[in-house]
Amino acid sequence: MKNSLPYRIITQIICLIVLVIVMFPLCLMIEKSFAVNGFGNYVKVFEYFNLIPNVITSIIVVGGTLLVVGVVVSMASFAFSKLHFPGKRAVYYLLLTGMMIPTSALIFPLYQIVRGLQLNNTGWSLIFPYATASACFNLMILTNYYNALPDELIDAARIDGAGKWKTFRMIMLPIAKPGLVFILIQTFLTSWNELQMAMIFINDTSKQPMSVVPLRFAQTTTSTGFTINNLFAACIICLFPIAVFYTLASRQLMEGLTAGAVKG
Amino acid sequence: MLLNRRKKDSLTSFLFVVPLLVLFLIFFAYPIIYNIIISFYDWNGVSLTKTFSGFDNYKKLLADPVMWKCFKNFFWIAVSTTLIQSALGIILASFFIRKIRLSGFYRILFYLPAICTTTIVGTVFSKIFETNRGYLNVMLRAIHLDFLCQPWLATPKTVMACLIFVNIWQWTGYSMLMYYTNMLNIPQDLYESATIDGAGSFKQFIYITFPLLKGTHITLILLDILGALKFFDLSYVLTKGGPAHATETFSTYIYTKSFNTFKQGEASTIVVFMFIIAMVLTVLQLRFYYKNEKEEMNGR
Repeated sequence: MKNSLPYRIITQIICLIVLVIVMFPLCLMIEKSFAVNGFGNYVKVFEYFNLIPNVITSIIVVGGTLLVVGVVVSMASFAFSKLHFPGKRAVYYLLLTGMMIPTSALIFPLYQIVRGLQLNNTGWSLIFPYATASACFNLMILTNYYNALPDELIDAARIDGAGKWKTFRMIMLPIAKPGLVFILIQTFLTSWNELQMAMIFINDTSKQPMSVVPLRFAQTTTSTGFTINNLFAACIICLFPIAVFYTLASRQLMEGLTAGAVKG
Repeated sequence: MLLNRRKKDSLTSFLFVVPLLVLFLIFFAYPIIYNIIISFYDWNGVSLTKTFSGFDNYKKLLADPVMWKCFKNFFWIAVSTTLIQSALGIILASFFIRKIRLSGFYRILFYLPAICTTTIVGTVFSKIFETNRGYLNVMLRAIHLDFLCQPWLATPKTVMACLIFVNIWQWTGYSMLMYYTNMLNIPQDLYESATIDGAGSFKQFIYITFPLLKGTHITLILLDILGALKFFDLSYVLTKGGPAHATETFSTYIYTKSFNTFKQGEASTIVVFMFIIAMVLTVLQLRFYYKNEKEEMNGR
């Protein structure tokens, strides 16, 4: 397809306008974070806050969630795609309704459980709720991915005498890896950024995950000494891990999408 | 003997699904049932005794103007994101599919807001929309458009529009990417034969691209409505539901009822309202997927 000159000009103008609107808040944040004191703004953030416990909580939460989602969704989508048992479709659709359930519907009852088990104020309280939410959301994507893999592989494995578990672990899981990587990237982003459940289950500010920490910065700005420039520097620090992750994962994310992992 | 083996076979197959099913029952099904039961009680969420109150919570909330504000805000967030975000997404995707210069560069940058933590996005925009020293008003004054200056987040009239703007700012990249990837799946020979028939690029978009993206439209509309139903972060970070409940959503209102005013019965009732909306959406969605599957089976 060859694009005409007017088309090329108009599309570039539109894209540039969108680019300015998209980048303005991000550039503003970066620019202001260096204003007046340069790197001093960043140093001051570390003087005011010890973010290490927060990072640790985030790592526990996200790591645990990824592990649970990876195992549970892989097994379930393999079964829904390649195995047979009565009531399979009904169970599948029941699990898919999970993606429609809003977090607010879960918080109070789950908070009661978490407090009862004395898991509040620890990262462990968030792992299973996050994992369930991500699992229901990603189940369809990975099942579609397995559906696209040929059934002959299973038959061949069965003839060779491999059981279901062996077929799953040794044959299907390795082939489905790109699909799995894609849903894990998505799970990483959603669980790293979740706010609502995180701030309620963990109300000790010194342990809250990184998604909640910026609320604390905003409250500190009103007190003396911590300027708006420090606030922006703090925001950049919080964005840093996710920026690193996006740089590393963006290629896989785009590939996962373009490989048709998301069938709309 | 054979029957027994088949039974055992089904059982071992079923075992693969058990972990997810257990998670679902504990972390999704139980809370929903819990909320449905509590919605019929008058309870502060702490004390050991609850009083059964029938439909009182329902009657009270349906007469509560703030509750209606939540319904209204849900409606507007859903409509505006569905229309504006999808339109922007599909337009941008249609540029990138025709490989305009710098496509890859734009694609990565336009998706950037979607990965940012909402609390950070909210913090930055709160400084942009701030009344006195906010960057938006400062800029407007600098180009002598003082009459446009507003206390953006302090006026009930403008505040919801601001939140919707930020929401669209954050998620347009996602719609764009979804449309883009699904456009890649459209067979190129359709366009080639259309070109031979003399159809211009605009006509091709209207008659080929748009209708073939039916599945993507439905998925995105669903996700957008779902996002509107769950809407919490921006409202909480930027305005805490204020001023005068102007940005109250189901989630912020549930949060207030549960943890500030300790009216758990009412909070659970709002959960039931949300749940009913979610279930209507689910039925529509499943119907669509079911129909689609059937069509695919008949078509091939």
